[in-house]
Amino acid sequence: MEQRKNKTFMPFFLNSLKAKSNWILLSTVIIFVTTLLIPYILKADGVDAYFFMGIGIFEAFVMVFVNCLIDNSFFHSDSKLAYYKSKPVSLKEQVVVNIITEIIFAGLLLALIVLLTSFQIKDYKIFRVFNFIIPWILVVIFLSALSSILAGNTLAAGIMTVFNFALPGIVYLIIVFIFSIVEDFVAGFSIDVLENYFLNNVYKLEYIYFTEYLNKPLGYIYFLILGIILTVITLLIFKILKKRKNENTGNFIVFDGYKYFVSLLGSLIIPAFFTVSNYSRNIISEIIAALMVASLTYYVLIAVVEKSFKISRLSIKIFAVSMVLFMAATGGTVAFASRYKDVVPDVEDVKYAFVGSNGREFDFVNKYIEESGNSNLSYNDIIKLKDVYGVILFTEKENIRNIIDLHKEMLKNSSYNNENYRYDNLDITYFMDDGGYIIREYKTDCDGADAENGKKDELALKILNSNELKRIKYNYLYDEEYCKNNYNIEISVGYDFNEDIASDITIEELRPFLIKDINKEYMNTDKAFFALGGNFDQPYKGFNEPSPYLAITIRDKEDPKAYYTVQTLYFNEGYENTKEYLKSSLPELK
Amino acid sequence: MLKIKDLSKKFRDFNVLDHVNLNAEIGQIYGLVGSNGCGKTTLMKHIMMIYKPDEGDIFYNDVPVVEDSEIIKEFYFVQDNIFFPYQFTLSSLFAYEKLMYKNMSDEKFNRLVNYFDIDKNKKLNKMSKGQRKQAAFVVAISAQPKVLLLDEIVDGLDAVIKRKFWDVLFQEVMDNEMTVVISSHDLKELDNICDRVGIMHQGKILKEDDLEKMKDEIKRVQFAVDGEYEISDFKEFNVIKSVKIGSVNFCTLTGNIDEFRKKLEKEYKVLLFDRLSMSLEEIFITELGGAGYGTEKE
Repeated sequence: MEQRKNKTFMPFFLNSLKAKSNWILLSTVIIFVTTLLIPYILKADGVDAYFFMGIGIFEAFVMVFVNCLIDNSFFHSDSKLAYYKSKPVSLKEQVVVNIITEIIFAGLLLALIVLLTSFQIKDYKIFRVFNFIIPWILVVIFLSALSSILAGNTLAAGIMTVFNFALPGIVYLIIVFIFSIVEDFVAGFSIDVLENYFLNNVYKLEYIYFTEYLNKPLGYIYFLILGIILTVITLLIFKILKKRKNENTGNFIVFDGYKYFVSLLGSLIIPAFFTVSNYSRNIISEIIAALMVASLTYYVLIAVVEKSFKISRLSIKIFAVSMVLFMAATGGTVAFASRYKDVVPDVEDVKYAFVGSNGREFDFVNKYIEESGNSNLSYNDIIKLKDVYGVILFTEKENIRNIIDLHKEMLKNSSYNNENYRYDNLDITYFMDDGGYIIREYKTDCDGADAENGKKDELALKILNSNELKRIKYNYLYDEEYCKNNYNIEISVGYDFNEDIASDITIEELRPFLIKDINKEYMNTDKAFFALGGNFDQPYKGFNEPSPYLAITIRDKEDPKAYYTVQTLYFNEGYENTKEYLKSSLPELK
Repeated sequence: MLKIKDLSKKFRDFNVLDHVNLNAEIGQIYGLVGSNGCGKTTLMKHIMMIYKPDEGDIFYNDVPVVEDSEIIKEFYFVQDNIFFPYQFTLSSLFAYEKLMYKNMSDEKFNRLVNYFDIDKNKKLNKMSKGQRKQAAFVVAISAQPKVLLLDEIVDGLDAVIKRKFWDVLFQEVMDNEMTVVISSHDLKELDNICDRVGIMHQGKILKEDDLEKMKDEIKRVQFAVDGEYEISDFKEFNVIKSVKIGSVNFCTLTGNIDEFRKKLEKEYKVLLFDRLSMSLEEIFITELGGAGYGTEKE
C-alpha cells in the first residue's frame, strides 16, 4: 500500500501560517500596549518593569493556549472532524502543521516581549526567566494537541491540558500521600525527610519543570530533558491519533482508559491534599476519611465525564481494583520501610552524625560535598556547613555514640514532656564510611502521658557539653586558631531587632564573659534534649517581650560587603556575666 | 469498483453496522436508501475512514482502502451537516482545497459557479442551507474525485436546483467514470438517477441490486375476479403484499407474473388484469415492510 506523500504539507503549512496573521496582529498590539506603552506612560522601571514583563508573558501564554485550542478544536465537532478527516491531508499532518504554526506564533510573541522590555529593564539576568518559560510554552503547545485528541470537546481539552501539564506534580503529590501514610505507620520515617530525599535524588521536579534553570546556566541536560519530554508527547500524539475513536467526539473524554486514569488520579489528589494538610494522628480515621473522599471524588468525576448520575459497573470495578493496588503499593512501602525501622548503626561505621531539627541536613551536606568535590570534610568544611546551612556535624566517636544511644532511646519511647514548649521533631542522620546514610525523624509527642525525659536529657546534655559542639557552634570563641585569624568580628547590641544601640565593643573584650556564660548555661540546663531541637540554644521563654540581644557578625576584611550574623544571644534568660559587662559600658542596656 | 465486505461496527453495545456488503461499479450512481438512523451516514464515514471498522474491509479496484492511504486521496465526501472553515468564501474554500486535491479544476469551478449562479465572494457561513450545499457540491465536482460520497445532498433544495445537480452529476459520471454513492430520503429523485441501489435497515443492507433488476424482481399487478380471491392459493408466487380496494386487488409479488396470471385465470374468471410499474419508493416500502419496519400497529 502506498502511503501519502508530503506534497501537500508545505502549502498547507504556509496557508496555516497566513491564517494566523490576524492573531499575530492582535497579540502584537496587546503586548505592545501592556509591555511598552503602559509602562512608558506610568514611567515604570525596576520591579514595576518586571511586573509588566510578567503580564506580557502571561498574555503570550493565554494567546498561545487559546490558539492551540482553537486550531485543534476540529477534533471536537462531528462535522468539523468529518470535513478535515476526509481531506487528503492526514490528521497527523494537520496536527504537526498546527504545532509548528503555534511554535512560530509563540516565538514571535516571546521575541516581541524581550525586545520591548529590553528598553526598560536594566538587569538582563531577569531574562533567565525564559529558561523555563520557553519549555513551558513548548510543552503547552504539544500537550494541548495531545489533550485535544484525548478530549471530545474543547473545554475538556483545555482542562486536560492543564491536568497533563500538572501530571508530574500530581504524581508527586500522590507519592507524598503514600509517604504520609508511611510516616504514620513507621516511626522514624518522616514525610518531610522522604519528600526531600525523593525530590532531590529520585524525582527531580525542578528539572522536569525547568525551574532549576532560573538561576543556572543552560547545559546539555536542559536540552536533553526538553527533547525527551517533547519526543514522548509527540509519540503519544501519533499513537493516540491512530487509536482515536472519532465516533466518541462530543464526549468529555474520547478514550475510556484515559477517562479512568484522570478520574483515579483525581480521586487520589483530593484525599492527598486532605491527609497531607491535616494534623490528625489517628491513622484509622485518616484512612477511612481518605477512602470516603476518594470514592466520592471518583464518583463525581466519572459522573461528570460520562454525563450520567448512574455510573457503570466497569467504573466501579476499576476503582475497586485501583484502590486495592494503591493500598497494596502503600502497604508494600510501609512493610519495606518497617524492615529498617529499628536499624541503628555501629559507632565505628559512622563518619559524621547529625542530631537536631534542621530537616534538610542531608541535602545541605550532599550539596556541599557535591560543590566542593570532596567527601572527606575538614574542620573548616564543618564550620562552613554550620555558618551557611546551620548544620552541625559531629565526627568525634563519643558524640556519635551519644547520638546512637539517643536514637535507641527514641526507638523505645519518642515522647518527651517539654511542658509549655512545642517541639515536634528530632532528626538524626548518619553519614556512613561506605558512603551510605541513615536518615530518621522522630515526632516527640510533647503532651504524651508516658513521656520519658531523664535518659534523653542525660544523653543530650553530654552532647551539649562536648568540646566538639562548642568548637563548632562557638568557633569564634572556643577555637584559638580561628580567633587569631584575619576575620573581623563585629558586635552589635539591640532591643528586639528594632532599636540598635551603637557600640564599639570588640569580641576580644567580650570573649571571656561569653565563654563563662555559655559553659554555665549548658551545664545547668534541665531541658538539654529540648535544646537539641533548637539549634543547641537554650529554650527561649521570653519571646513575647522585647529583649535586649547581642548579635555577633563576621565580616570579611577582603570583602566588607560579605558578612553574616553567626549568633544572636537573647538576654531574657542567662548570659549574666556578659550582660553585667555590657551594662557597665552601655548604660542604655537595662 | 468500490466494494465493502462484511463491514461491522459497534458503538458501545449497539450494532450500528452489521456485516454490510456494498458493491458500486465505476461510473455508477449508487443510491443508499434506508430508514432513519439505519447507518447510512455512518457507512459513508467508514468509507472515508473517519470511523474505523471493527470488522470488514473496503476496497477500491481491489486495493484496500485504509486510513491515510493514497487511494483515499481520490475520494470526496460531502456531508449532510456541511462544515466550512470559519470566514471562508467559496473562492477561498476552493483555493484552500486546491492545496490538497491534485485534480482540482479551475475551469470546472468557474463553469459551475456560473451555472449555479453562486456569489463566490460571499462568506459561506452567511449563505442559506441550499446555497451552502450548492457551494459544497461545486467544490466536490471541481476536485474530480474517483469516488464521490454525497450525504443527503439534495434535501431541502428546490426542483430547479435539483435538476441542475443531476445534470452535472450525470455529465461527470459519464466524462470521468466517477463512482457516486448518494444517500437521500427523496426516493423519487433517486429513482430517476440511480443505477444501483442498496436498501439499509438497522445497520444491514437488506437488498442491493441494479435498480432496473430490482424493479423486474418485484412486480405489482392489479386484477379483478369474479368471486372472492384467496391469497393462500397463490403462496408459490411469493406474494409480499395484497390489498383490495373496492373490487380491484393489488398484489406485490416476486414470482413469475405470467404463471400467476395463468393460475388466476384457471381458478377464477378474470375480469381485469394489468401489470403496474414499481417505483423505488414502493420497492423501499416493500423491502422494509418485509423487515417489519412500518408495519407496526397503533
